[in-house]
Amino acid sequence: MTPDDFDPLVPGPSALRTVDDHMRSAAEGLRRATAVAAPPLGRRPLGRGGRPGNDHPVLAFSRPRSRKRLVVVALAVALIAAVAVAVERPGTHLRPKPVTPPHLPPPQLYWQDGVGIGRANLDGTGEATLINRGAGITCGIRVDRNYVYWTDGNGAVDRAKRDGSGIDTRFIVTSGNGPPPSVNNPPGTGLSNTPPPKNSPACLAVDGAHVYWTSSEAIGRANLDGTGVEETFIPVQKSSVTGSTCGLAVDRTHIYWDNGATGTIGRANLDGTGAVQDFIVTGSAGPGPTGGSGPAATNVTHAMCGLLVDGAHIYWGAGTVPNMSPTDPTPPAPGPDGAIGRANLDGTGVDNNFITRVGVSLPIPCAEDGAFLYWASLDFTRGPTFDTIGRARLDATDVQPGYVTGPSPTRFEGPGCAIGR
Amino acid sequence: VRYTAPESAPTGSEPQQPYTAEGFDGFYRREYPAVVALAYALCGRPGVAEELAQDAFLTAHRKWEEVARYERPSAFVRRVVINAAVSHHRRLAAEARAVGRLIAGARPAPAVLEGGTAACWRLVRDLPPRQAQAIALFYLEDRSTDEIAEVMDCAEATVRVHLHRARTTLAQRLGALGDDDA
Repeated sequence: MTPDDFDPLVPGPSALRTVDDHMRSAAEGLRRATAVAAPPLGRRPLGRGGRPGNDHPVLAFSRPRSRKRLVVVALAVALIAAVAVAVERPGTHLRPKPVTPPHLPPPQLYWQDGVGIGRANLDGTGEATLINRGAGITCGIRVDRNYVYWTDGNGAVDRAKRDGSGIDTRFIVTSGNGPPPSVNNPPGTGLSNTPPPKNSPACLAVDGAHVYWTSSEAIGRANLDGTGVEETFIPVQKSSVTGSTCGLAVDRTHIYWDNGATGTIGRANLDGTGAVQDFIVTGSAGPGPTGGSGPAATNVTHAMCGLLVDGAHIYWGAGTVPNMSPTDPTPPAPGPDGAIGRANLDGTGVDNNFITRVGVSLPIPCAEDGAFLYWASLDFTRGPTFDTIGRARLDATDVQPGYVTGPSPTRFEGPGCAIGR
Repeated sequence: VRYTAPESAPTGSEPQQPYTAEGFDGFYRREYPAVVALAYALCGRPGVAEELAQDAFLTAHRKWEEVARYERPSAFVRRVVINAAVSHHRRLAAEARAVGRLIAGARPAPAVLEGGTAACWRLVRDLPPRQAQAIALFYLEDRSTDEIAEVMDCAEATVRVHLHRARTTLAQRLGALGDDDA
């Protein structure tokens, strides 16, 4: 039945007749319950000086506009005025103490350096080494309101307060906990002779309830207090470059990860259900060629790394990694500049080249501050190094490849960065 | 504008002569229980329903010289009450006054609905506001769609759409209720 066909006098299908029966019964019940007489006339006597209109029963629930009421209102206004004057007068005991606004530090950028974790204001001032031990070179660093979290490359997620105190190097311990890698270099970049343990947490994501991490086989999860560790919360596909998923992000409804082996981005509900491995297909995976010429154009592997979500989009890094010779230590020629891709949160609108001219062959988006997107720059000019952090506006304008440049190649030593607000 | 047609013949349950300032009392006594019921259906609380009805009649009283000339003053007072029932601020004010009366020891006159009747009207209140208004006017007051359109200040076709959608939704939800009960 369409709305135009609706005739209140025609009962219609049985389901609608049921509605009619129920509603007529309910209407009768309501009519019986409210079969009350109107408040009688003249119930409220005239006040002294009151106007005849106030005697009406319609006003029975309303206050009469009597002279007494006006006096009460006038006294109340006078009292409020007196209090206001007293509060404003210096020296009076009613004057409230000035309220000190809570100390809110400016947004700060956190990164992994050769020692631990560094931090600076977004304008470049206030640079300091926040934590001088324990940070493995992975993509795992996240900051929430109270803590800095990082993966140590040794099977654990560590945590410290945002001022650097209260370091807990065994905040979350997984089955990947074991002896540290013999050479502490980025996994998959050709410098790591001994990779981290199989299930060692790599990338991190934090929301208001859980800490999530990637390992070589799955996404793990634990409660924000470190309890309830689930190492195989969501199974994933290995990355062809890093050996484990190289990007992890979470928003209010979903968790996202990159599948570097297939160039796809997976998504699942926050409770782990509804996992889809190819939610977004970027095509950034597998061997070259790149479309250019020369050895650098062919002797590369397409890679994607880094994942970031804001309120409307998901971002990932795409580019190339030169294939390194196991016998020749000479750094291979880097491939062409990579790009940062973007898609809508519903998986539509895939743009593999949303931000270009990033200055490196593999940008790894790691943080956003509501205006800018930041990326760690995996550069192969002198071999694989993380020398700079670049940024661009979220609309892909104002691209600044070397927004933060280290005084030495060891300043940035990992693809992880985060912004603490 | 749609209320004011004093030269046309009154219809429905309205008296044959237009209300006058002296006729407000009769109008008030006759319409009060139905307006309280309508407010109760849309807000779900007897004390608040009384307050909303009082507000509506107070508005009618203040404009009585004009309202009395309307073809259907009852439609006016109902429009006021259905708008008040979905107005957040007016509901809050009515609830505050109802609470004040309760504290003062005054109990609401309407009985508290229970059982299937209460559940049924709860389903109606879960509908979008305009659909709930149309359903309440249709079933509670047995009004025709053109009368409902006059109260709701919309086209009759719109009322039919509201009723159609509301009945379809209620059919689904009442079915779910039946399943749950089983």
